[in-house]
Amino acid sequence: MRKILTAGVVLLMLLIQTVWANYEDELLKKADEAFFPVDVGYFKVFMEDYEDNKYRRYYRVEIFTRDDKYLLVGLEPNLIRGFVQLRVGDIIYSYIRRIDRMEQLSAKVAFQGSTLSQEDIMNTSLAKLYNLQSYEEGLLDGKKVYILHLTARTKEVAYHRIVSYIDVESHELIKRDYFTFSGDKVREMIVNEIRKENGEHKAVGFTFYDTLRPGYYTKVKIDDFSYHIEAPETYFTRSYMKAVAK
Amino acid sequence: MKKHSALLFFFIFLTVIVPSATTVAETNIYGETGVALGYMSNSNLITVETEKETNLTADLWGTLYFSAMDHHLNHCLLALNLEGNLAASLAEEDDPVSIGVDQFYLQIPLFQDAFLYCGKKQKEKGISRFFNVSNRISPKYLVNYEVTRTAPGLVELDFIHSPALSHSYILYFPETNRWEETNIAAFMDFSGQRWTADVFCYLEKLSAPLAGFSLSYQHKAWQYYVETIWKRKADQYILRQNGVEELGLRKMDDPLAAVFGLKLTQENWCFTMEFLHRREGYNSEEQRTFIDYIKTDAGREVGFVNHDLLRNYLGISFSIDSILDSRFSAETKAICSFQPDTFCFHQYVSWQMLTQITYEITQNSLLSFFIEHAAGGKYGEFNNVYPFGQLFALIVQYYF
Repeated sequence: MRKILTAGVVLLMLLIQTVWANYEDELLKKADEAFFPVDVGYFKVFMEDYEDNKYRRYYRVEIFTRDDKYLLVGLEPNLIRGFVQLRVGDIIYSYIRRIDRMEQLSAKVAFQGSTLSQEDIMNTSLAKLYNLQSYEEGLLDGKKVYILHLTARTKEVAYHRIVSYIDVESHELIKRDYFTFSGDKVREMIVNEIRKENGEHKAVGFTFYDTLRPGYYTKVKIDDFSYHIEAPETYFTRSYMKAVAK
Repeated sequence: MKKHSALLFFFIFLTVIVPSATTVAETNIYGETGVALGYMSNSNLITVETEKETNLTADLWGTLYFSAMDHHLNHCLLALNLEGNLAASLAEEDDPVSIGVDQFYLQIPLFQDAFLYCGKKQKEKGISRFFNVSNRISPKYLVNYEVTRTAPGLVELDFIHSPALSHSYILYFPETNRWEETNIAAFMDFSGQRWTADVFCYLEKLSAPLAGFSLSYQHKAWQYYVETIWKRKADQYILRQNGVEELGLRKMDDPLAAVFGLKLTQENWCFTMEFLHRREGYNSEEQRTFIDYIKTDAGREVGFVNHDLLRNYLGISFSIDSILDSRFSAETKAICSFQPDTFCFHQYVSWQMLTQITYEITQNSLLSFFIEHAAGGKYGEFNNVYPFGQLFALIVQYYF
């Protein structure tokens, strides 16, 4: 009898743990989907860098995406014409037609000198690279939020730990804090805009702050989402990068 | 003649290709230009040029790209190259500034995931930063503050079989006057989760085979790679002393050249180290007699190709994208050639150091200060073969 009871308790605990884990995965998935559409195949990104609170530079790029693959094509300014980047899993390739050079990059490298890393530009879903360790309810500027604590799945990613603040009702992202492997908070993202029409994302805007250097930040606007483009698998190859560089 | 050909190309492109392309294609005109003011101090090698020239140089260069691409990825690219010596007077040279066609080619998608390229085009291949041994079509050379690469006439077929496999076949004509001098190349590219591999073969002048592979593996922030090429036979000019000193060909069977490299990339800095071993290169005895020879009147006119003389080279580079301010960046490179099998190591070693500090004036304009220094032992390669010992240059570049 005692053995049956013990086995029953263990099974109940396993069941609760599984359900809880599934709920956590579901929460992270909802947070990802509320912030950025998961079924989009194409979008454009506009970035403005500020240093010492003064405007420094801008970039406009277009991105094709499929599963965990991203193909980035430089559009403006002319300095990045012929610039293409490809992310496949943990590897990022960069091709520059002007100097005809193909290179491999780390996800931690800054994107064109901005406060964003390569991973920040070429990853739209935290669930692919980070595990949700725990979450709690809290308050942020008087608003009820879920505070999600995420840790890196591998050491190839740009950040060791991320703390994400999402609205309890809508699961929309409000803020994220990014931490390195040494425990320092290095970046902070504040979401300015998530605009939807008929349930589809139309624009996402946020500001990415370098917390180690006050006055250094990048404003990002993502729009021109296309839900009906599914880029073929062969788009996400090194050979295709050279063909698509303008 | 070069300027007239380039202008003719430009006229044809502007009046024929651009109007027909703009009806359906996205056209872009962009480019870069730069001016460099330099000072060179003479090296041990005194040539006809260094005897008569001043040590000051003022160079102008630029590239203008005309690109038209439609949504089917039909692409036409014309790249005009501008080079000039601003210090030359009209009395000394007919064309102090020359315009040439750097690249001009068509990219045509054939059927699903296959592309045809036709024209004068650079071919990017290989992993190595310093010693691009596997690229026989458009090898890259580090020359002062820029990397130069040739663009031969070629016909290229690329097939993207899958995300893991693609292959290409190339017919290329570098300075070819006869069909028997045509060259053929074939490449197969493999991609895995953290690794890439290329296997290739060439048939130069339809008679000389070469083959090799390159392999790269990424582990966290480290990249490890190897790039090799094997030739059936290699010719190397060495000095023969049969009563009279003269250069003659030494033929070697199955020479192999291999580059081993590693690269560490962090958030805003990068470190690269490569080692090149060329079996067909000079040993210490051949190096000594060659260096003594080029110091004579007969030897001064011998041509020199970067990193194509000796057996062993080591290249190291360190670059940082942001120094205190994100507008400052710097890169330093050092290439060393040496003979490990001699007791007088210091006499045969030489090195070439290049350092560039760049300031971003605006997003599209850069100001750089460049230093190059060559030094070495009594029979060192760089300090004896280069026409200058030190080069200082102030460079302004503009991208538009």
